[in-house]
Amino acid sequence: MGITLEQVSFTYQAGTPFEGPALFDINMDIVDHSFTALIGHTGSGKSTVLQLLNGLFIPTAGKIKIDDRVITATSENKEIKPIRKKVGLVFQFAESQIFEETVLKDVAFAPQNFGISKEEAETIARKKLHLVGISEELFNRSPFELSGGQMRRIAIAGILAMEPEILVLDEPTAGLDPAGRKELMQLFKQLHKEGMTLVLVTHLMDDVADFADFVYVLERGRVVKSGSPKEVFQDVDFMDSVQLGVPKVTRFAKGLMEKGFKLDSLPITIEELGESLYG
Amino acid sequence: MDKMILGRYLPGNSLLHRLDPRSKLLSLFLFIVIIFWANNPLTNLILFLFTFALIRLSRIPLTFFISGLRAMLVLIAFTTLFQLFFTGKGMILFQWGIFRITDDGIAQAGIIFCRFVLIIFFSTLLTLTTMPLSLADAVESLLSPLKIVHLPVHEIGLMLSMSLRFVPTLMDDTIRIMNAQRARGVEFNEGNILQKVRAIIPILIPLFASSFKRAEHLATAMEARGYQGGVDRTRYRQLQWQLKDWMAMITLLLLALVLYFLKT
Repeated sequence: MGITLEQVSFTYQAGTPFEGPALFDINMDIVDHSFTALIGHTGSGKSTVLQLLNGLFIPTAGKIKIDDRVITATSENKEIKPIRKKVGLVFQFAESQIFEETVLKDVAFAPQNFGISKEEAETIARKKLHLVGISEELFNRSPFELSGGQMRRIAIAGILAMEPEILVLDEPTAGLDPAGRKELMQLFKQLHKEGMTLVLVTHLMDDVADFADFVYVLERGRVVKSGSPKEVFQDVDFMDSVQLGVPKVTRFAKGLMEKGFKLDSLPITIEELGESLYG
Repeated sequence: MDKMILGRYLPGNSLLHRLDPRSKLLSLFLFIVIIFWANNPLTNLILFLFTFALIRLSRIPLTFFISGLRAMLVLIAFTTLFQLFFTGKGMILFQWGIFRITDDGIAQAGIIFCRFVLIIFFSTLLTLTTMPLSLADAVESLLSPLKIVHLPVHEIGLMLSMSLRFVPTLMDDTIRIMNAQRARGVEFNEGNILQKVRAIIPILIPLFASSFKRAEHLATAMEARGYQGGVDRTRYRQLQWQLKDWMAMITLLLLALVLYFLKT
């Protein structure tokens, strides 16, 4: 299941004096089983795109094809609800969505909204909590007693419990410690391997290089560049001009080339750098 | 939620925007007093003309005021109908059980309706042209004589400006949390009353949690910077009473005088 955006524009509060155009003529193709990264400076429209992907926002113009459904400016909320189950959206600082008395209840909340029985929802919730690394003895604790990192995992489990086919992540590791970040990214990598389509918004170019297979660069509500991370990060000056930069390895390799090293292309991961230096 | 107009500020540079918030606030009080003198068609007409002239002066589209009115529609309709049906005096034009419509009732209902519309238009005009923080400053400044009776004026002003400051933040929080819950399959405008009420819980609890956290952070941040209320603080935003503010007050007083003589 993929998502296609065709000439999508979006304006906040259209038709009022507070009107704020956010996206212009976006064309995007999120291929089935891909790991797509969305990068852009603050205010470039990344988060708006994410909320279009699961029908929280409806485009002001253009169409969005999700599976066999088409969302246009005239779509109604009723026809969109099934899409929300298929496209799981993890918001930035997702722990702020937690509200139930116990960890297990909170994770089992979403599936029940889509008509799954309480017992079945709790079975799924247990599975997903194990997946994100929350241990059994925390299941009946109040989520508000736990650490920020644990709450983040619980919130992510809460989305995974809908068993979505596409997982959309808005800076899922923001504010976590390095170990927690690495573990979460490994989890997403594993989900991707098992066949889930992933969309990731991030400010970390190293993560883009390590995990994504396609990148869209957004700037002021427009897609200004797209391609594989390898292609996109070749243009270091451009990536600097949109205030995103490139992975550390790429910057290092560029320095080497300026000092006289001969490389066919700029590497984006440490393994690639090793290969191109030692063959 | 985004369409809420009540209490919103619309940046601009009209004469009304540039008036001192104190003169605007005093004008509102005075206007509300004057409204109670308007008890015949002529006086109401004068007040409406005055209000529309001010709206023109603020260069804010009239649609804004109408939408503010819509939010209060139920209250206005209820009160107006009450006046219409239950004013006992006057010539009876129509009667059905305890409901009776009299000529006095119609007049009363008309006046009440006009009062509501005028008050809403005028107060919307105040909030649309005045930054909430200036408004809080104005309240503090106007209350300052009460320091003599040990009213904690500065603290009241601070609380007021802080709560106003956090209205948009809370609004954003609410929208963010609502969207997060909608992403988890919650539907807010569907089902029966019970289901609708239950859909509010997933918004309220996270909202409380985040507000408490925010309040704590704010308190820590203020303490870290050595905040101490009251004593001889200087301010960044200075209020300046200018000639145009005197003019505004005089205009309002003239209006009051005219109304006083024209009321019946």
